[in-house]
Amino acid sequence: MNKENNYIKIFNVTFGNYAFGSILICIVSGIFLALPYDVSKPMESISKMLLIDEGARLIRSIHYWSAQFFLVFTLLHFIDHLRLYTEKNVSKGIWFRLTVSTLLVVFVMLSGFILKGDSESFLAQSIFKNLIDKIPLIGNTISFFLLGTQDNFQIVYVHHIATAAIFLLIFIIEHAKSITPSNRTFSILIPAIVIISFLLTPNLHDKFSSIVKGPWYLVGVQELLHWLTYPSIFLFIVLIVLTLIFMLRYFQKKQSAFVKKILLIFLFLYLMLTVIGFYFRGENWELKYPWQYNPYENIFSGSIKEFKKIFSDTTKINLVMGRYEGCLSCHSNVVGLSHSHSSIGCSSCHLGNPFTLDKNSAHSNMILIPGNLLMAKKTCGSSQCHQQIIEKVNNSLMNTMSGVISVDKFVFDESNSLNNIYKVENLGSNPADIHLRNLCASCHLSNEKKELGPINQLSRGGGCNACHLSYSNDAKEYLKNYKIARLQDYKIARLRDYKIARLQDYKIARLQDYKIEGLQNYKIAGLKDGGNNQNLLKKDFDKIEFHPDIKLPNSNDYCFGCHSRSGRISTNYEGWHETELFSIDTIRNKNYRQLDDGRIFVKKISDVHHDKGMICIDCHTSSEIMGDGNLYVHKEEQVKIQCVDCHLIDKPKTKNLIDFDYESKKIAELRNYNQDERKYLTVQKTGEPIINSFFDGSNAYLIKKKNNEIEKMKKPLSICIAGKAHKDLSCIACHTSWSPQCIGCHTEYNKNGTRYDLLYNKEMKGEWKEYSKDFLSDYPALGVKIENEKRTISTFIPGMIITIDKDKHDRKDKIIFKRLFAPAFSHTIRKESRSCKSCHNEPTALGYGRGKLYYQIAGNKGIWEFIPEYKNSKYDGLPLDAWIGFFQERKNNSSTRNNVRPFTIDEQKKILTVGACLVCHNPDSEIMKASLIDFEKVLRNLSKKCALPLWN
Amino acid sequence: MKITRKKFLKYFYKILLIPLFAVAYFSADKQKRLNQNKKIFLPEKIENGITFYDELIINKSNLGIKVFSSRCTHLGCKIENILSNQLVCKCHGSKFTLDGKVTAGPAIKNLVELKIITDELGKKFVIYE
Repeated sequence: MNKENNYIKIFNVTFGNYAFGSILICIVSGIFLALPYDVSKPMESISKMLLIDEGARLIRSIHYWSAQFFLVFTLLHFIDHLRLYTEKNVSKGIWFRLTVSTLLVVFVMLSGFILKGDSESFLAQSIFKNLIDKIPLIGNTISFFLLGTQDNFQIVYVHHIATAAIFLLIFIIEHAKSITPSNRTFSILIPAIVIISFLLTPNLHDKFSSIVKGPWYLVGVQELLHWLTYPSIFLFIVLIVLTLIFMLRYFQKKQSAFVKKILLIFLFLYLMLTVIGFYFRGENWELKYPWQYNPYENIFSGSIKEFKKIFSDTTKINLVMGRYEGCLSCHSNVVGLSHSHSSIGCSSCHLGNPFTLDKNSAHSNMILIPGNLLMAKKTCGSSQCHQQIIEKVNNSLMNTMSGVISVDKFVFDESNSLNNIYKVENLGSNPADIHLRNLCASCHLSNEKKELGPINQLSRGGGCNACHLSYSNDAKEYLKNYKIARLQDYKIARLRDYKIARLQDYKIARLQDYKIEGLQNYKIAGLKDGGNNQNLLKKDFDKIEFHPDIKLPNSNDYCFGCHSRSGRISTNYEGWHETELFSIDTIRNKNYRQLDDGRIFVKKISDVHHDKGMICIDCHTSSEIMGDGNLYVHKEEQVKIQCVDCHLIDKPKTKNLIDFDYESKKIAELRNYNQDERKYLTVQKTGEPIINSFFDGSNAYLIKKKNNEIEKMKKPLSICIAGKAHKDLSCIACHTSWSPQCIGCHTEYNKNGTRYDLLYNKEMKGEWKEYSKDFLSDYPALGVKIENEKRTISTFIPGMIITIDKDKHDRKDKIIFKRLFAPAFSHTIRKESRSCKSCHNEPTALGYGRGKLYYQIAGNKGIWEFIPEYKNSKYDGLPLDAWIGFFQERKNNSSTRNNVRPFTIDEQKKILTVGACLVCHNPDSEIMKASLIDFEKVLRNLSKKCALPLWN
Repeated sequence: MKITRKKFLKYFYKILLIPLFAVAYFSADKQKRLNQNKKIFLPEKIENGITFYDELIINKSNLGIKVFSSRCTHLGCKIENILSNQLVCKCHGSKFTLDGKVTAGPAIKNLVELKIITDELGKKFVIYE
């Protein structure tokens, strides 16, 4: 029976004819493609085709699409024939060859994919080779015969264009019994293939993306192999499928129908695997929803357009990172990037499509501001660049805000622990979470930078940009003009709308002038003119661009915006204390300063390190700032540097350059601090080198990153380390000159209000408001920190003396009251220490709060008395600014950390015993100096005049 | 069964293909062996931590240098990624410690550690198969 009429046809052409026609078009286009394709430089030659040889680009596109058509129609043709049981119509020999040709089809398609020579191709070749290697005994040799060596595509090329293609064609002609399909086939196929080839050009895959997938028809195999610990099982499956197909010729109709159903199930499962692999697999083959990334990214590079432009302007195409990048044809005049980033082209950072000269296509999926952490894995943190750093930054406290969240949740009674690890991105809608989203959640690195321009006091987040974006004056000026030009463009568009042609004509005339005078020179002159030439159009700037630099930071400006808040260490460091003033007049006084956010600060004593010209990163190492990969709860866990790392007590442990980790060495090189013979100081806690320091055998030196001046670092005075009286004191306990202290804070929630959501950058319903009582600057309180069972006396400030009203309209809800002091390194260090009395005779130092602490002597005994300055709180009975009551203890819930506490009663007695001595004895007296060495001995030799305290 | 001259020649030519395939097979096998065992010299200065170099992953620590083949033991994809202190294969997601030990499949074998050899000039190299 002639079944010809039963075949499924589209426009009266069978699938078989379409497949036959497609392979012929593929072969012919392949012959033409041989000229521009260079098998020794495959990716380079294809990127050249994509960018500067539009004809070759079209031919390659036709070659690709005809192959895809061939594959799809071959499969449909095969299914159509099985449906009609035509397998018995061909001879056994032909059926055998057709079965074998299934492998040939896969090989010819896959070899074409491999010949792209991009990163995906190399991986596909590896997988294919390793799979064939698994064939027992002969696998290795066959894989070598088919694929050759991994760094040479010659063998693959020969088999692709000759061996496989010829055999395939012979098998097709043999069973089709014709050397060409019908004219009708070509008249449908050619326009269809040309149109789709014109619209969608297959792209190249560079090495920057960690999403690596095989050709779409083998993504199912890739997914299957992901699940197969033993890939040989896959070969076995292939063998079974081929055997079943071959045996169809010999089965009875009933058996054949059963086997075909099995094959259909196989096909369905394979399609499922393909969908999973294609849409649900992201970087490193991890499961991801298709809306979390773009599955089509970089597969096609858009339509072929602007022939004229492309053919006339090809001289500026440069080779970047092993590929030709089209971006530079328009952006070749970018200046401003320093050496480390000037040679990586544009798309390494800005993505887009580097393999096209069509502006829209090139700019599709482009990132204007790379470095934001959300996209950093594809840009700064791609596998070719700073991948490890991005991993660390993601876990850094500057990104997680774990400490802030942990304390806030504890204060809101939403958590019993101060040591839970949190990530700001996971903040939800609990009161504490909303509180943070209202008031705090902008100061984290993953907050997206959306506006062009340098980092300033108002900047928050920005990922890598937060520390590494550097605008030169030229770049700032260029940006200013660019913004003016954009505004101008907008105005022109408006004017065009209103059809005010005269101004438009004027601008066109100006443009003509540019051409006459020399476009480039005119524009440079225009920029140097200070941007006063407001008639410049945006498109005029397209060809000259002062790019901001990406480099190592050398100022505190990057830190200032966030760190002028909360503990306010940035402003403390420079000697500014926040006030409650709001009058603009006060800032005319040089003792006052207004920040860009409007807050007014008053001058105080600055940190001695600031006076010496040191910046934050002179002390804080890269792993402290960007993180070391570990998740920490609180900042003192991530900060490892200590005063004694530079102010040496003993002979330090040093490191030579050769022993540096990669990151430290790289930074040392970039800063030009790399000297082979130099002995670098190390962070004692971690062994990490301090790259801007060195030790000459007797003294330590610091190279200031701001100006590269060398400063000899002083050793601690003998009084700091002598005797046992002060052995537990941290350096900051004595050398902190002041700390900002906020007491009596009230926070309340208005569910009817609206406030900006700092996390998601949008308005939100509900509003937390904060009211502070007093803003003081004083010596910090002292308390005890236990670290590794070692007791250290350190500095503390009121972290949260706060009342919280979770619903200000509900008078019955319970007000939360917390009195927690926080450990604080205030960054107000002075060379001279605080006086003995400021610790031993001052109530603030002991944690009693402000007031009058005096010693009443009667006979040879004395009694300490205290009159607080602030009223007692109605919530806990303590003075508002106190940490503890006078001669009282607080054992639990007294601090924002679990390992710190205020002084115990015994400790208070010891301190005040010395204080009693200081009432009469000069701190510089011999007796007081002796007490530093051995106080017990001094007490054993008291004079009759001495009046020791009487304790109740 | 009568064998005609035509039939005889048909089978004869097919049989002739066998030695041809055999010659081709042995030739390919020889070429393959000639291309095996690539000698890769290690860079003179190696940083602490992980270095991806040519076909190698070099792990230098205070304990010394270890060199691994960068090919995933699952299906040979080149590993050039570190995520969360693990070497990750892009193709099928296998993960290894920096010491080459497999921590997540589909791979089940550790990365192949290559022996470091020092030549007469003191240069270090490995034999990469």
